[in-house]
Amino acid sequence: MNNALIEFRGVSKSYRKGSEVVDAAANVDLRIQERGMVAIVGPSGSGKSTLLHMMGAMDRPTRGEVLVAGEAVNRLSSGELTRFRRKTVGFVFQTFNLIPNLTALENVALPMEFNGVSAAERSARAKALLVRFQLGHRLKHRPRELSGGEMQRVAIARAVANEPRLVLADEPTGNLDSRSGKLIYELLQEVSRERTVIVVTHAEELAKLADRVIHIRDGQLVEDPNSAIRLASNTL
Amino acid sequence: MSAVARGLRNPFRTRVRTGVVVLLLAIIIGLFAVMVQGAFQTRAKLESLQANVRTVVELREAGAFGTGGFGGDKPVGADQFSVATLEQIRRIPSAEHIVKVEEYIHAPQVDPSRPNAYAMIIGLQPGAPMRAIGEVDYENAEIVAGRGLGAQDVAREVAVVGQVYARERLGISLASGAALQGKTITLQNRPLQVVGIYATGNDFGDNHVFVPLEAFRRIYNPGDKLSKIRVRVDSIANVAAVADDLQQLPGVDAVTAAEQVSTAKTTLGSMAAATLYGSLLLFAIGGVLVVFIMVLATRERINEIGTLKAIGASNWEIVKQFLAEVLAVTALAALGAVMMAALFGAVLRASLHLEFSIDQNTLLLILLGGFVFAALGSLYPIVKGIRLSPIQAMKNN
Repeated sequence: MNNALIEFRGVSKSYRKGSEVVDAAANVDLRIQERGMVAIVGPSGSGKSTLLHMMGAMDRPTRGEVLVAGEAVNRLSSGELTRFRRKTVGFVFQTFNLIPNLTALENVALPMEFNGVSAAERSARAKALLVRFQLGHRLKHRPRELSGGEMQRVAIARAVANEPRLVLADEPTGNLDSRSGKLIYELLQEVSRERTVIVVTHAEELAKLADRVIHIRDGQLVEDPNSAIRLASNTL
Repeated sequence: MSAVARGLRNPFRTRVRTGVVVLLLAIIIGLFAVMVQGAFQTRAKLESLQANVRTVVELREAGAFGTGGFGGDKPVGADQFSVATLEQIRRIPSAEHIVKVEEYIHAPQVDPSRPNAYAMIIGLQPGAPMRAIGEVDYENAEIVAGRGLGAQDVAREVAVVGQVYARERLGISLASGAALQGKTITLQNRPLQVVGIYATGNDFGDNHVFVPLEAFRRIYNPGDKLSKIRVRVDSIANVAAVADDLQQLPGVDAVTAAEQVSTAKTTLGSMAAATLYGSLLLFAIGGVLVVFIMVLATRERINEIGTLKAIGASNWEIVKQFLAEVLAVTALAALGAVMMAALFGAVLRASLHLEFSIDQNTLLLILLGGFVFAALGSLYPIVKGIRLSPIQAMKNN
């Protein structure tokens, strides 16, 4: 399987919580192919978000190697990590994390600014994205003037603004009602036709919409019932 | 929108807080600039005073009550204290830089029938401060009716009288502009229109008449007579010897100023120290304030910093944004500080009689204060912004 976008090789992640050492990931081997939507499900504290953060080079493993788009992200320097996040990954957060004093258009244009896209081009691309996500009438609105569902759509538009190969969504519907949540999942499904979307969620029902579901418990991958590939000894 | 533009916009996210911070900083920087200038000025005054005290000898006409011009009730123009005295001084070794002071020339107007018989006629350049001779010292005269002597009075024969003089000799019991209408006084058979009444709060000081210097000369013809002479001695070691030589001159009292200025020295010294320590204290308060505000702003936005990093912002982008933010706050404060400095400067002028103006030095001090506060305020956000990983920021949320 040479065309894996993400590959975890014996990845472990532990951290201290007071005097206790918590294993958020324990010797995880994992491969995820390019394109499609993958849901990571599991109870609170099982290590879902830790897995996601390591995929996005927001966190480093204690042991093992994380390869994304062919790069060993755990070995990248601070500057290289910044470049990696700009070009390869887009993030969608549970609490939207839009910059409050910027308009929807400015929020979407922000990652492109970091990526060196010209002002005119990023404005045109941000506008096109927002129109595509049915937010053409909200371009100049600030986050506080938007509903939760609208804010999350702006956040998804921002995540795909630099056309990354990987979009990581951490509980993207956690702060939304079921109707808005379903819309967001449909939107992520649409996005996953062009790129890989990894979604961390508690909601098994929504996870069923994913092309593949990864279950995690106590930092270990336990099964992948919707996937054609079966888990064997934490190896996917 | 660039990081700098975002930083410049950020202070307006919490307008009330920013407004309060800008106002406080403006007061602090403005006061700081004024106090530093005040400290420099008082110190300069003190140094100049000390230098002069050591080497300047003041000469007055013997028996002239420290003012010159009417010593021993001799007729005006018949005194020994005149231009000829200057020639005698020049012959004294170590006496140099002779300064002739002739703004005040006085003549007595004695009327034994009045409660305050001894009124003095004081000639001065119109526009110069009216210093009335009180019981122990000069008193600053304030106009209570009509007006003082101005540029228009240079060639005119007009007078400003004290309120005791006005009451006793002009019958004006209540000083007012209307009461002055048609009032004149007569000096050497020449009528002078009374244009104003002054008061010092001291009966002795309020019994004089101020007239323009030219009018005084026309009326009294003082000729070569001088009011005061100041002699600068070439070194402090020679002061005593020169003072002794000067005292030998006929009709002259030589006075070293050491005793006169001792109080002023103490006051100015305390003032210089107070302004210096005050400005240092203000600077510390301003620094703490700006650091506190930026710590607050940074901590409030840790999640935002994390988000910016997660979506691709480099450390430098974060630093630029916070630098621009703190610079925006301090620039606004510096603008406010200019206005505050003007306000405090006016208070300083009025209360401490120090010359203060918004000049290049003040603007530089304000700019410097703003930059230092900006640098202090940006330290925490920069350190925090660089050290923070996106995941730490997210966890903080």
